[in-house]
Formats: sequence, C-alpha cells, structure tokens
Amino acid sequence: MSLRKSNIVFVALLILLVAGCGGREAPAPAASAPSETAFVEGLVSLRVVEAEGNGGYFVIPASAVFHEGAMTGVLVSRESGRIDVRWISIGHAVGSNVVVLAGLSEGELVVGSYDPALREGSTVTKSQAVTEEDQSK
Amino acid sequence: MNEGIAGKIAKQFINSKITPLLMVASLLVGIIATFMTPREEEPQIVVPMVDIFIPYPGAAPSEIEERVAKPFERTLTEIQGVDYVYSTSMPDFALVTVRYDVGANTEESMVKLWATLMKNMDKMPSGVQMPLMKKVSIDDVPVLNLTFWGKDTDPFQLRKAAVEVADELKKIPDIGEVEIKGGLKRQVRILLDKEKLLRYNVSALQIMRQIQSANSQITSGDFTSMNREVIVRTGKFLESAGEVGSVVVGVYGGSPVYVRDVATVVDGPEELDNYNFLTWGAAAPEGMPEGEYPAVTLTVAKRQGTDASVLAGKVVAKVDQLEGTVIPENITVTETRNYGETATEKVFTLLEHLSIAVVAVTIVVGFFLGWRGALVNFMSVPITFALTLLVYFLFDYSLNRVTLFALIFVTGIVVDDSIIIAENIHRHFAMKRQPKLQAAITAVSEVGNPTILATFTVIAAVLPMIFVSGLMGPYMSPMPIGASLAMIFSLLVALIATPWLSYRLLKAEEGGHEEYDITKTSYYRVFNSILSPLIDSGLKRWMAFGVVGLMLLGAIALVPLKAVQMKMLPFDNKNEFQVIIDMPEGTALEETGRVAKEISAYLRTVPEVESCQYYVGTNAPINFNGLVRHYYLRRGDNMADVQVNLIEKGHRSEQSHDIAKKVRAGVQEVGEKYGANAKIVEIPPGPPVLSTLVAEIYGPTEKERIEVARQVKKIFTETPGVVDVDWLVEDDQEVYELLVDQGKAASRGVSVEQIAQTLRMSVAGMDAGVLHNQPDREQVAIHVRLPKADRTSLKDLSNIFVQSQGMGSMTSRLRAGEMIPLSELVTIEKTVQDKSIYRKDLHDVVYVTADVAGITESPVYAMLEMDKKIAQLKLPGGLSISPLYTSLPDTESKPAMKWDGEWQITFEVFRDLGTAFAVVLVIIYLLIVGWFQSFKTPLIMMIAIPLSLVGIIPGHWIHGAFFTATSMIGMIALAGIMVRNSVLLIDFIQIRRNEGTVLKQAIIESAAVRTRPIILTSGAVVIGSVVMLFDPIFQGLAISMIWGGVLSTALTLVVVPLVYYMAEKKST
Repeated sequence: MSLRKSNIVFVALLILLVAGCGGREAPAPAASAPSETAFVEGLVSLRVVEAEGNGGYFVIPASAVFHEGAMTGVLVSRESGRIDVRWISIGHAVGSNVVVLAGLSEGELVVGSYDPALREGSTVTKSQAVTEEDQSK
Repeated sequence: MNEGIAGKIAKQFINSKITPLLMVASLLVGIIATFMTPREEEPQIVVPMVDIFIPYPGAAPSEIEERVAKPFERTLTEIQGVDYVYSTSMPDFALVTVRYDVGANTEESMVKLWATLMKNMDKMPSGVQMPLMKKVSIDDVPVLNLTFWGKDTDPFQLRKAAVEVADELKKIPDIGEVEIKGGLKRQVRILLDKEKLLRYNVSALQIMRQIQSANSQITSGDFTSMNREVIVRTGKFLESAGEVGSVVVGVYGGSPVYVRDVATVVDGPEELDNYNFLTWGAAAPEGMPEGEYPAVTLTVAKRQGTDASVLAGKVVAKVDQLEGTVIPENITVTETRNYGETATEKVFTLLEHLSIAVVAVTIVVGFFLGWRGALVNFMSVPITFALTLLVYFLFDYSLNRVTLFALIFVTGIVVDDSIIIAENIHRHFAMKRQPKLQAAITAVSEVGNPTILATFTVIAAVLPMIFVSGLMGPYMSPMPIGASLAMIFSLLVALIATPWLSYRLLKAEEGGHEEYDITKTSYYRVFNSILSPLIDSGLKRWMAFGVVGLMLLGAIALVPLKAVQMKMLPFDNKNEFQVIIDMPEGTALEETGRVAKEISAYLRTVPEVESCQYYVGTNAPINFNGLVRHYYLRRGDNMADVQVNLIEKGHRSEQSHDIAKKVRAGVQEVGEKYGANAKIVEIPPGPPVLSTLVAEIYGPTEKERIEVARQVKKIFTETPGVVDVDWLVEDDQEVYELLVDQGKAASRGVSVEQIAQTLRMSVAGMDAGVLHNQPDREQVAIHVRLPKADRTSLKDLSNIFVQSQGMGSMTSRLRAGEMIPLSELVTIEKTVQDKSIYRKDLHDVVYVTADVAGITESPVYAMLEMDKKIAQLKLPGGLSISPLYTSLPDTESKPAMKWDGEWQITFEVFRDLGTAFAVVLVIIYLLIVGWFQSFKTPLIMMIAIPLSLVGIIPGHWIHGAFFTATSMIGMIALAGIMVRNSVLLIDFIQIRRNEGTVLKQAIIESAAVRTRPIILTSGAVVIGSVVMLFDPIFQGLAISMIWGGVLSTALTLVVVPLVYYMAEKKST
C-alpha cells in the first residue's frame, strides 16, 4: 500500500533529519534579542503520493495544519530556517496525513506539528530547536 | 496724444470711488469661490465608455465571436458618435466595450446604445441571455478606501463589520457607491455526502427543489368578518440552519429523509474564494505591528460634482464614531486611500506654488520699479486670480491639478499688462513733463492699445489648444480656457486697477528727471554699442544672423541626436502603485496567494513602502487607470493585485516612478520563480491606456496572429528598456469535457440538462434560496455543494448519481427515482480551454503589451528600435510586416501590426497641438496685420517665435528632461509672449518715427526704452515658472518658459530691430 510506504518514508526522513543534524549545536541566541526555544517534532517535507489513475496527490501530517477562521495554514521553513505561514487548501485525511490540494509545492519543508508559539519570521535551526527571534527585526 | 480705449477706461476709473470697491469685491468673491469649488486630484473626465456583457452560456469563444460579438459590433458602429468598438469573446460570454467621442453626453449615448441593442436582440441565436450594460465612469473610482484588519479576526468577522459600517456610511449625503472587497459572507452551506445520498436514494437536484419549495411563505388573502379584516398567511420561511437541516427531501424505507441525513449543514463563512491581507512596510507609522493580517477593504466612491475631501472627512468622522460599537475592539480601521486628502494636498501645494510665483514676480518687479511699483503689481495679481477662480466656480469646474496648473502657467503672463502700464506710468512720472494725473493717463494711452493687442496675441496663442481631441482633450481644455480668462481679467485689472493704484502709490519725485535724457541711460548705451555697428555694417549684420541661425540649427539637431527625447507626459510623484500578478491560467488560488504574499513580503522591506495589501482572487480597489484597463473584471484564482502605498511624498527623496523602477527587478524575480507575470502599474499622469506599449497584431487566422504575436513578444523581451512584457493570450488550461452518451442517458431516463445541473451543483455549487429574517446586512444564501475534499479529481465526479425520471421521460422503462451513476453516462475527454478572441473596430486582433522603464523612458524610441527588428521577421509564406503607426491595416488577408497605447495618444496630442500652433501663427499674423496695417511687419515680429527654440531644446537637454506635451504648450504660449515683445518694440519705433526721429535712432531708442518692460515681463514669466520646475509634470512647461523666455528675449532685442531696419531701410 502506498499509505504504509509513505509512513515508512516519513519516519525514515525524520530519523535522517535528527541523525544528520543532531551533532551540531544550536547557535546561542543573541543576548539582546529576547528569544525562546521551542522544540518541534520536526520538519517534514511535502511528499507526492502516487495514486493509480490520475497523477497523484500531496500529503502532509494532519498535525501540521492549523485553522484561522475559514483559512487553513501550515508553517513552512525556508532553506534559511525562516518560518513562513502558508495558506493552503486541504482535502481528505489519509491516515494521519492530509491531502494538500493547493498552496505547497513538492519538497517544501513543513513544521511537522503546528506550534502556536511559532510565528512568521521565527527561525528554525537545523537541530530542530526553534529560536523565536525578536519580532521587530 | 489720442487716448484710445485704454486711455478712456483709465480716465474713467483712475479717480473713481468705485475702483477700490470693485477691487475688494473681486478679492472677496474669489476667496469664497476658492472654498466653494470642489477639490479633486484628477480633472472630471467623462470617459464615455460602456461595457456590454452578453451571456451565451455554454458557447465557445469562436461561436460567440461569430454569432454574438460580430453582429453586435456591426450594428454598434452604425451609431453616430461611436469612436471605437472593442470586443472580447470568452467562453460563455462576450464583452463588448463601446467608446464614444470624448465629451459626448453619457445618458444620450446610453439610450442610443440600448435602442440599438434591443433592435438586434431578435437576430441573436437562442440561448443568448439579456445583455448587461454598464456605464464606466470616473465616479466609479473609489475616493476613499478603509481597510479593516486585526490580529485576532478572520475574513468572516471583518466582512461583517465592514458591511455594518457600509450600511451606516450610505446615510451620508453625496456618497456614491460603497463596496466591500474581500472577506467571506455568511452562508448556510449544505455539504452533500455522496455515500449518504446514494444510501437514502436522494439526488442533489431533489434537495435543491425541496429546499426551494419549503422556503416559501405567501400572504393568502384576508377574511372579513364583523367589520374586521384578518390577514391569512401561509407557509414559513426558513430562518436558521437547523430549519434548513429539517427539510424533508425524500422518503427511505417508509421514514422521511431530512437534509441533515444526507448532508452536513453549516452556518458560517462561505467557502474561501479570496485572500486579502494587509502588511505594514518599512515606512509604517510608529506602533504598527509586523506580519500580515487578514483584511477587508471598504471602498467609497463619490457622487459626481461633489468635493472628495469633504466627503472623505465626513466618512472618516463617521467611522471614528462607529469604532467600539459597530466596529469591534479587535478590528482596526486604516485609511489606505484618501483621494480627498491627496486632492486637498495637491490643490494647496499648487496654491502655495502660485503664491511663491506671485511673490517672486513681485520681487523682480521691485528691483526695477522700486517697492511701490512692486506693490501695485502685487495687488493686481490676486484680483486677476480671484476673478478667474470665480469663473471656474461658475463654469462648474473643480479645482484640480489641471485648472490650477493653468493659473500657475499664467502667473508670469498676467502680471505683464500691469507691469507694462505701471512701468510706463513710472517712467512718465519720472519725466515730469505733465501733472501727475495727466501723466498717468498719457502713460496708459501710450502703451494701452499695444497692450490690448499683446494680450490678444497671447490669448490667440493659448486658445487653440482647446481643440485637442481624444482622451487628452479634457485634460487640456481647462488650460486654454483658464489662461485666456485670466488674461482678459488681467487686462481689465491693468486698465482699471493699476492706474488707480499707480496714481496713489507711485511717487513722482522718485529718480531725477534730468536722467531721462534717453541717450544717457545705461540701456541706451548698451544698445547703442550693440546695435550701431550691426546697423552700420552689412557684413557684421549677416554674421550676427549667421550665428543666430547656427544656434538655431544646433538646438534643433539635439532632437535627432536623442539628446532631448519626446514623451507624452512624465510620471507624477504619487503615493501609490500596484503590482498586477497573473499566474498561468489554471493556477489554484492558494498558489497565487503564495506568490502575492512573497511579493508583498519583498515590497515591505523597501524603505519607502508604508503598507502593502494584497488581494488574491479578487481585484484591488481600482483607480482611474484600472477603470480604463478593465481591472475591475480581474477576478479569478490565477489573479492577484498588490496595492502598495508609499510614505507621503514629503518624507521621501525618491519619486514614486523611481521607486517603482527600483522594485521591479525584485518583484519580477519572485514572479519568475513561480511562472507568474508580475507587472508594476503606476498611475499614469495623463489619460490611461491599455498599456504604455501596445502592439496590435492583425492577420487572417488566429494561429497566424498568435504566431506573429509570439515573435513580436520575443522582440519586446529582448529589447533593453522594455519591461513588463505580456500578451493577451491565455495559457493553455486543461479542461475535462464530460460527453454525455445520449443513447445511454435516454434509456435510463436521464436528461442531459439534469446531468449538467447536477454537476454544476456538485462542483460550483448552487444557491437554493436565502435564509430569511436575518439580522445580517447581506443576504445569507443557502448553498448546495460537495465539500471541497470531495471534488478534487475526476474520480470524485464519477461517483455522483443522478435520478432516473423513469417512464415520465418517455425514453426509459426504468423505475422513476432509480439512482444512476454519472460514470455510466459520460465519457471524459481532456482538452484545452478555448482562448478568448479580441476584436478592435471589427478586426480580429492579438495584443502584445509592455511598459518602458530604465534605458528608454519614452515609448516612441523603443518603438523605433523594435521596428527594425520586426521588419526583419520572417513569417511563413515569405511575408514580412512593417508596423503601422496611425491607421488600421487595409486588409486582413496578410499579417499586419499597428502600434497603440501611449503612442496613439501622443500622436493625437502632438498632432492637435501642432495644428493648434499653426492656427496660432495665422491668428497672430492676422491680428498684427490688422493693427499695423502692413503685411511685412508681422512677419518681422514673428521671427521671434522660432528663436525660442534656441532656448527650449537645449534647456531640456541641460535639465535632462523630456520634451513633453507641457513643453509644447509652453512653446506655443511663448510664441504669444515673444510676439508681444516684438509688438511693443516695433510699436515704439513707429511712434518715434512718426515724431520725426530717423530710423536708426528710433530703433536704438526703442530698444533702450522697451528693454525694461520687456525684460520685466519676460523676467516675470521666467521667475513665475521656476516653481513649476519641481513638479514632475509641469517641468517641461517650466523649462520651455524659462530657457525659451531668456534666450528668445535676448535674441529678440537684437534680431528683431535689425531685421526691421533691413526691411525699412529700403522704403525710407
């Protein structure tokens, strides 16, 4: 089943990320900037699930999604680690995942579980630790 | 000496008690008029444009073009006064835009149009629905935008608050259309559950019908009994989501099936169809939070002829009042556009410039005539302007940049009459030949008549500009009218008020009278040393002419050398611009939103940006430009607009155009990353056009047109300085066509219409009525649709069921109500959406559009450069095209191209101004012939006109400015002023010669005596124009007046007397 396979890939990815980055330390937050560190489950990359018939679909963990009024969003990490809020449109849930209809493209890194403490402009370090930087910057 | 008209008027008023009263009264009405005249930024322009939407559901563009657009266009061109007819044939409907001659009566045009439309409705194919006609008017442009935003709100709440406010605002008198952009309406959504529908044997159509019939209530009549009437009412409207859920839609297993059994009923926001966010930029006011916030914009338009600033003030006051009550605490209301404020600001800046000009001119006059003389002039200018402003008010003009521009433009000219008269009175007082009163009257008589003539030459110069046609006409017409009026008033003031003032203010004792032996003045000495050798020696004279001729040639040579470039109008310094984002057709809303978000995230880092607001899926509030470009039709998942507000222009050093140029690269970098076409759209200074550069491609077939357009577009992209290249050809969008198998459908008792309706309801959704008795200001629709998650792919569509109509359909033996899966009845075909077909004046056309910025700022030069490349294009069949400039191609049988856009208006304006200039020359000639009774003398006087080019063109080069339409206006006006100088000069020569002075002596004396008023008046023109140098639009005019004025005055004083000498030498 494509579903189980995707879960395995998901877990493998997580392990890889943790293993690959664990060795490095998070840079000490700047003294002047009031910062806090939050831990997130991890950054998950958006994946394509192949479906028989018409193409395929994108999935992300359902825990990554948050709602604001009628809008649905996820936190996306740029390569630099900066967090962006991205508004998306979602479809059905597939196991613990949810189908993304629009708004994300393949390979983008999504904060695996939504954390209200994280906001646009926060920075996620490679060690999965998250430094919320001075917002006024 | 003969008193003449001027002398007689002066004699009447110089000692009259009425004169000061008239002066005070004029000032007072002028001041009152200034405050009563509505203020606005743009002149009131009637754009006689009408959009006609003709729906033809289901038809393809090619069919719509052939059956709907073409026949309509043909009949529309029969109407008198129709200038252009454009049409766009899109899937499902045609949009025909009719443009009348500018200035045509809108109501009359609409009636004619409607009559023509109705006359031809019977010729339309069946299926064409009633056309929708919409007048496009400048008053549709919102003057005030209020953005509702907040931290802990969502589009649903924001819209609710905005609607409440809108309702309150509508009560303000003089308010126009109030609209709300963005946000989500309240809706009762019936989200169908496909499985349950199947299980309970209920179809989507059935739900729709049942809700519609349940949601009814009527007054049945009344009973009369015992002298009383009692009203009987039947039924009850649906008033809540619960009631909607309890509507019975069918029977299953003997028990009723309710809506809630087969669908989820949700009362709340409608499904997302737009994203609208506000984000504060780098130049945001103190205390504004970072990040972006959901926003909804309320736009307020004004009624025709009302003052934008007054209305905006009232609206803002009302909103302040509503804060805390109708507007919840967590919502902030911010003004994101206030044209009332900008108009007031613009008007006051211009009034300030006007005062500076008046003061500067007064100081110049003071240098020559002393402070008393200056005071005389200083007092006459406000009276002139006060009267002009009164006429503006009476003519229903508004105070806008064009009407005020007319005033600034004439500042230097209107003082002239007073200067000439005051100067001459001053001179006569100093000569002490007569008693004071008599001296004043003699002085007025002496220069009065040439002054009247001179005034009319200036009026003759500016007035023909009234005939500038096209969209630019309304921009220009207040100028000649205002300037001419001001000139007439200034003449009256010079003849009535100036002598009165001079008589009282100028001192006779001033200056020694023995100095007034003409040959001892410094002017005389200067002119004697310059003119004498030139008059005496033919060789030196010809050398002088040679030098002047070379200067003239040199100046003109700067134009072909591109040292001075032509442009219609330069960009104004505005506080806003827009970014128009077009994603390829078929891009999802969220994907478009992401691009808009990223672009606005970039823009907010630009130091001059105060705020950005992006609108995805809906258009941003339009401006005048958007009105003409049809931006109000920009609605779709693949479109987004970003409204960028810059910090107030006083707080930044860069002009808005430079900022727009600066950010273009950054914006397009983001756009390119996602395949988006992002254009920076600035508010044009003049009439808006489709785009600055437009190439219209004509040709026999659509394929050929698109092919040529593709090549032209490539040339556009490769040409440096040409930016924002786009074309009006949609990208391929995938379409799934569901073809119904007629045989199968019939045998199962299902009609094609039923299938189509069911699908439409499932995918696009359909309103099944409204919820009644709600406190909401907006209608609450009951909407039936599949949830978004259930309509993502073809697979989802295939398990939708329709109900057989059974025997009733006459084609089936199945039981009525049997559920038939759609997948059994349809086959799917993947195709590409047909592209819209554009037509202009009955020709099929493909538009390629672009803007110019950077290396070339003027479209004409970019066009000339691209022309060469386009001419070299190899087209199939060995054909080539040479772009046309002014007329449509004669034949559609081979590909052709025409330039349009700003060029078309530039061409029209310069053509009309050129014609006006020719007319001006003829009128001036006639006037002087009439005055001097000579055919030759006027020609000598008009030599001064080409001499102004010696100053004008190099002036533009020195300032690095474009030669614009305003430069041209300056040049034309200058012709009048220069001729007037010649008139004054030659008039005096003739007076002296009549008194018996020899020719040479008369010429030198005249130059010496007239130099002071000539330098004074030209100086006033020059100084008065200096304030305009800092205005981006009027800069060209200022340069023309300053440089042209200085050089041609200097040259006139030498060349005109010399030529006159040569001409008269033989006759004496």
